[in-house]
Amino acid sequence: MTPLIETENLVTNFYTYEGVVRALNGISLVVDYGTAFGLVGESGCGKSVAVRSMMRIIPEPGRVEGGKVVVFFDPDDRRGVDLLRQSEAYVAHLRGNRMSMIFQEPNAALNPIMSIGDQVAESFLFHRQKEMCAAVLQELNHPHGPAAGPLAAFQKRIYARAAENPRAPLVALSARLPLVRRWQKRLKAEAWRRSIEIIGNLGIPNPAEVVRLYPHNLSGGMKQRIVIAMALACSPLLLIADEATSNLDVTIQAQILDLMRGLRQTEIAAILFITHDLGVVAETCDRVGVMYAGNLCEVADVADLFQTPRHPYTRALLEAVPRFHQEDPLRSIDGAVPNLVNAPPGCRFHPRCPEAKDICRRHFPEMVAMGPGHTVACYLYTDRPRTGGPR
Amino acid sequence: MENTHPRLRELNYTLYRIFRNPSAVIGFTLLLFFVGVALLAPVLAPPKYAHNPYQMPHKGFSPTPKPPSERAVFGTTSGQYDIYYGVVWGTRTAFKIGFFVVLWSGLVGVSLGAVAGYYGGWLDEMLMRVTDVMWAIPTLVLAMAIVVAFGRGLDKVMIALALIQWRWYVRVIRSEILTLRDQDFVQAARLMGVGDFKIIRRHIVPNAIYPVLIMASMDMGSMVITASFMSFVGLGSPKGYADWGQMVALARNYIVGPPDDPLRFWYTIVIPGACIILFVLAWNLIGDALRDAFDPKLRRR
Amino acid sequence: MKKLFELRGLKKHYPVRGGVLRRQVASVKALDGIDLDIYRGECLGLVGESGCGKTTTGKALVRMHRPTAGQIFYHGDNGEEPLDIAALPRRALKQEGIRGRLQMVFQDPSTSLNPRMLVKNIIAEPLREHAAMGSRALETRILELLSLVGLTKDHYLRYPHEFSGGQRQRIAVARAIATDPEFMVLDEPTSALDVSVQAQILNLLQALRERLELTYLFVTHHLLVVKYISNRLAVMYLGKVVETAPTPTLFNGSRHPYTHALLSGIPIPEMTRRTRRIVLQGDVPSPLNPPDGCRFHTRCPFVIDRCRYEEPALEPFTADHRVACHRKAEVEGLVQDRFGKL
Repeated sequence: MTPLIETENLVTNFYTYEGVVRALNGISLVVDYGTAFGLVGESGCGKSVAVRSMMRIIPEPGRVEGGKVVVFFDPDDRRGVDLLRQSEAYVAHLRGNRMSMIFQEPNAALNPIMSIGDQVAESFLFHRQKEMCAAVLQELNHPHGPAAGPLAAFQKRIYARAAENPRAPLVALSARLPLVRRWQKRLKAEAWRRSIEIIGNLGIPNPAEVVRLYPHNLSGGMKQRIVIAMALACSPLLLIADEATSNLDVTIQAQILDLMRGLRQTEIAAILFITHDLGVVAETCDRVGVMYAGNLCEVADVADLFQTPRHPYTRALLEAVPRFHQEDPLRSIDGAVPNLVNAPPGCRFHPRCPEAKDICRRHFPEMVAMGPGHTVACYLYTDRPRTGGPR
Repeated sequence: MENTHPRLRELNYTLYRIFRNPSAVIGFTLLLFFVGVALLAPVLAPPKYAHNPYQMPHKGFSPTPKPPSERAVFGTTSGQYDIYYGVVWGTRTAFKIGFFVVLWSGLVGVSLGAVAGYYGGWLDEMLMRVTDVMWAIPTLVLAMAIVVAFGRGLDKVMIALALIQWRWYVRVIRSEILTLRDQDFVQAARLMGVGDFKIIRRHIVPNAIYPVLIMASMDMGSMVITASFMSFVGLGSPKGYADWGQMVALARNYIVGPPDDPLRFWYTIVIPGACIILFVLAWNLIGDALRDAFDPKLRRR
Repeated sequence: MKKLFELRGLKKHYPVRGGVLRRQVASVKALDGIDLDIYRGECLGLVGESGCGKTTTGKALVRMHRPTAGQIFYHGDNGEEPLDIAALPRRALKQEGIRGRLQMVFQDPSTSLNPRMLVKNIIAEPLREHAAMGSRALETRILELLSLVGLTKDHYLRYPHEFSGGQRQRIAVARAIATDPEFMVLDEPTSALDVSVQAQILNLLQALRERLELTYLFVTHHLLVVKYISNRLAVMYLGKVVETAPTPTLFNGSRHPYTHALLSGIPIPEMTRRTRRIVLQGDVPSPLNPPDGCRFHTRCPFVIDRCRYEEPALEPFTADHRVACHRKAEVEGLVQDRFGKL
């Protein structure tokens, strides 16, 4: 297994009127190449904060205050880049190009007054201009291409230049001059062609017609597909889906999950699912991390986690959701998720834990390996507190 | 903190949110100052005519203003009216104008807007068209008509403003209520068989009132400006009435002094003018701070 | 079992107005002829995708809106004549004392509780509305209700925002049971809640139903939740009921292709990998202009010509299992042939 992104003791705090909300209390997790990693937990457990910290898009008054987020851009290269030590511009570039996020609400990502085709094409123009210029050039050079002439010669030169460096001064200038900038028509046509292709690949019927529509013409599931298409335009290494299917109906959710499963085999190196729905995790992920109140409790392969959950919280969580063959009454977890301003000391689950011991109240336990790829943070399996990280 | 009554805790939190904002601190300080002056007016400037304290005393009839001296701290304006006296009692006038206009227009606007927004249908349609007609009436023309019909006076101007200003409140509260009306808690109240009037009073108005409060605070200032303007063009208070606008009007001919000393009569215009500006500024700063404090998006977490 | 409600041909059309004269140009057919019986003491689950009209049905039963056509017969508990409440005006509902007997719990407790009212006043509101009570009696009753839903005296004087989502939903439940209702519509009461809290609320609702002899209409899109709590299910699609059956029958021997697709689409939090999944093509058609014939025919994998022009009626398949499908007798086999065994 080669890691793609790795966090180490990630700490994020929010400074609010009520006090300091310790939203992330030292998270260490690894997403490997070729896997779908599911981060599950209840609302307020910090799963969204975790990925937003990784992407460095924590809103005010939050701050990432410690830890590392290391990205390995090449599966064979062990030298990673720590995002928390890079400039904002570098991370911003990365967010657009190598990592894409899809959110729960597709409307937030779509401009209501631009047609679908324009929006997807824009994403292509933004991220893949170089590649597309090369494609147009090839088309121009094709023997059956447009007739030779001074115009065609000019276009060839511009496209050749843009294919080398889309930000070259000549290219930038000629893209702004009136009349001259019409050379971009071919580029835009290429972007539209690719948009239609990718929308078609995502299982939307009649892509050539759909691109002419506007977001309000589409249903929620269709919109979510368009957002995925836009995310794919930049051929991301990592796709982060933050509750991306939670708002959709069962039959539509099944379609989208199917689609994402397919994408993982073809387009994307890894997917990070953030969800509260254990069913979605069971069906789509290879690895699962369970979070509770800002801590990672347990990480395991999905089958392992569902068959032999080790952490008391994971067990309780699995018993609290209705199953297909549910016979007994559901076992609920007493109490409520703690307020992270005055989070309980030690293991944050201890006030609700049926097996809490004395030490649980004082120190957070270390992560121990319970088997291949299965780690748990609980004093049932260790008696050593965590070293490093807050408290 | 835990044992205090929840309403008190809410109030504390709201106050914290308001006073976290430096502009609120400035605004409330200014306001406090003006309130103090208004309350202590009889002490600060003992009235000469006990039956009519708002009448500015004047010594002589000379049209040329006199600079600040021991006898008149801020000098005298045209007609020898004491500027200091006028400014102090003018504070009371300003509050009178602001409160009268805002209270009346707020009351009328909120009730009409609440009824229109909550019931909808033809009632809404009718009330909003009436409001549209109100929007077509220019304030100045209405004020002039009233003054012509009933004679000159500050009270007439106040009535004219109150008759017009409610149209703002109707629109603001109606748009708030249109979104609140379909909220689940209003539906739940209906389901319990709570009467419409109680729903409006208990569920709708308390949740819709904040934009109105903000606007009322802003209006307190702007109404004083409008009334001053009316006085300036000669529709408002009669000559010699302690009103900032009236004082600026008296100084009209002395805004620029003689050619060799253009700033000679600065006190006639700057002092009442500054009062108007600071008064309006105070209310605007407060309005701004309230807006930030009541913003539901920012309110929790 | 005694009937509590009989819905006959219930319709709710929302007019769509257009043009300068605001004339009605079309109508959204949210409910387009619902026939359904609800029995005393049962928990009927109403499932379907968003926009299928399940919430509209629930709201019609508690008369939050007035249905366009059809009847809702309400059978009182003391052998009164069944009363059609579909067209009763609001005032008459209150006079007949029906308002207090039918209640509703909303999906999101953060919007169904007035943020500016104390818990005390929130729960007191329905009580005051239905009986004159002294302040002492009122307080006792409120505390009793709070303890029924698992809250304590500490929570009496607080604002809703001081509670967690689960506790807020408990307050909403306390408010709903304050007037001793017979029937409650639960509109997705757990979908805004967390998994661990969802179980608490489901168990609470279950316990209250037994203790207070309530009848529930549980509206949800979450099939595992409804399987856990309901005795009987009704599946809706585009303003129509397509299948009703006792829960086990529906889950094990559904006779409608749509129900099969719904069931196979549930993400199941278990590792017993299923071999079959029916992924439906396309989207739900617009309720502005529902398709002719069977409404599901545009997405149905087993469509035949007859489905396109003749609308199937909701007919009994067995005594307590009603299906609206022309091929109900063959569906089981068709699904197995095409998608494999469950």
